[in-house]
Amino acid sequence: MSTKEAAPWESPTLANASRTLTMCRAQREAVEWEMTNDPNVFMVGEDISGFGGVFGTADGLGAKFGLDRVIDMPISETGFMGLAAGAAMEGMRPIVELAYVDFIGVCFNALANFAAKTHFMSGGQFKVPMVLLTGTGAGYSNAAQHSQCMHATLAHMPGIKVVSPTNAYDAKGMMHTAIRDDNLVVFMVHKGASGVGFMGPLVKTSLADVPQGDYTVPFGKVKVYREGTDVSIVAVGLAVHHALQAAEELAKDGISAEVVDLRSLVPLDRDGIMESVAKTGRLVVADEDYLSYGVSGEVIATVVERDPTVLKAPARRVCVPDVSIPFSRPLEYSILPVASRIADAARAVMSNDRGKGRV
Amino acid sequence: MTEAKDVFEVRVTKETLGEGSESGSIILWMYPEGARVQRGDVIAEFLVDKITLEIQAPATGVLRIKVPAELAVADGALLALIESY
Repeated sequence: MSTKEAAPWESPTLANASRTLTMCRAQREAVEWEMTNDPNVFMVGEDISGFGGVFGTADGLGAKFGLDRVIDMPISETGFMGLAAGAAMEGMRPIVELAYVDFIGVCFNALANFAAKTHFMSGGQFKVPMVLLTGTGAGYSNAAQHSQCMHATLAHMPGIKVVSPTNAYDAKGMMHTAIRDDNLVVFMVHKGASGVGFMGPLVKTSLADVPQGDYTVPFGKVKVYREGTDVSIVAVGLAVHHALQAAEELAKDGISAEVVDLRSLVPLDRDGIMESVAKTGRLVVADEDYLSYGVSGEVIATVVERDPTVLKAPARRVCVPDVSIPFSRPLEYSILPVASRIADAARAVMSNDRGKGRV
Repeated sequence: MTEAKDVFEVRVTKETLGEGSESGSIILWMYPEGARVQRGDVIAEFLVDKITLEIQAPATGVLRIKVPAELAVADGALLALIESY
């Protein structure tokens, strides 16, 4: 030991120390960094400049960057989605906050016909570098019009990148990637996992150590949260955290489940899906979006198109059945892809039970 | 082991709770017990009546956590100490 002992706080690593953050705070740091370093980045949305957004996505940004760059919008998503798309075509880099993805319907012309297609239709003359930041998901009795995920509705449309981080480290890195991307990126965060205080206890597995500085997490790569050998549980959004709980439960029964987070729906890491399923030979897909015509079917189609012989048993989906999401808490939880449903599906796949309990 | 030169308290105040709230709770400690923090660092998120507040370190030093997350705490409760050296 040297004669002059350094005080604990004089650690050289202090300035770059990482902290444990919620997703909401982590992604906000990325927005703040980009706004500080690129004058073309600005934010529009409802209740963002003073209030910081319903889910805290813009907390503090209005005070820091002023009303010119954190711009409150009237309740007219059709209008400000078009505004953002136009600004992006002219070289700005807008971040649009749409608190609930449920209202994507009135945004769709601006998104699907202009933001998503202009690069293609202009022969590459125009880019549309725009981020749509939106909250998804159910679980807190907000009823049918404030509880949807709509992953597939957006992922289905060519020209849109769609990502959904599930932990704070990815949320920050993917937000940097999203803002720097020259295309429309829809950034979907489950409200229940974003870590905003009033939504109830934090989802512990969504917290992560997050570096102070900027870094990027690339799109189109799955993240294996937990390795396993018996069954792959491929999930997106909050369902990833349910899947992790299910994997704990399954481990008690001696079933080794691998939990794969898609993270990015477009581009979709089909190699990553295949790698896991080829290893385990069994597949359960968990997605809080509606069952039919969705991401879950796309994941299974990927395996079936590439090599169905890797499957030792039929794959199963754990999704919201094709009904509107109920207000009643018990009814709501009976249709969400919670851990018990995922574990049941995994057990059924393990027992190769081809008849019972199909959705 | 050097003795701490100064110890700074982080407490819940009437100002933190605002009008009409009796208690709040730590949502998340951002640094682990014993971490080195700098004055002004946001060290925790604190929930009062659906509003998320930031708790900042009053001094540069070592964080000693006194209250776990998710426990209801009232005015005057000691949340943490910062030992400066």
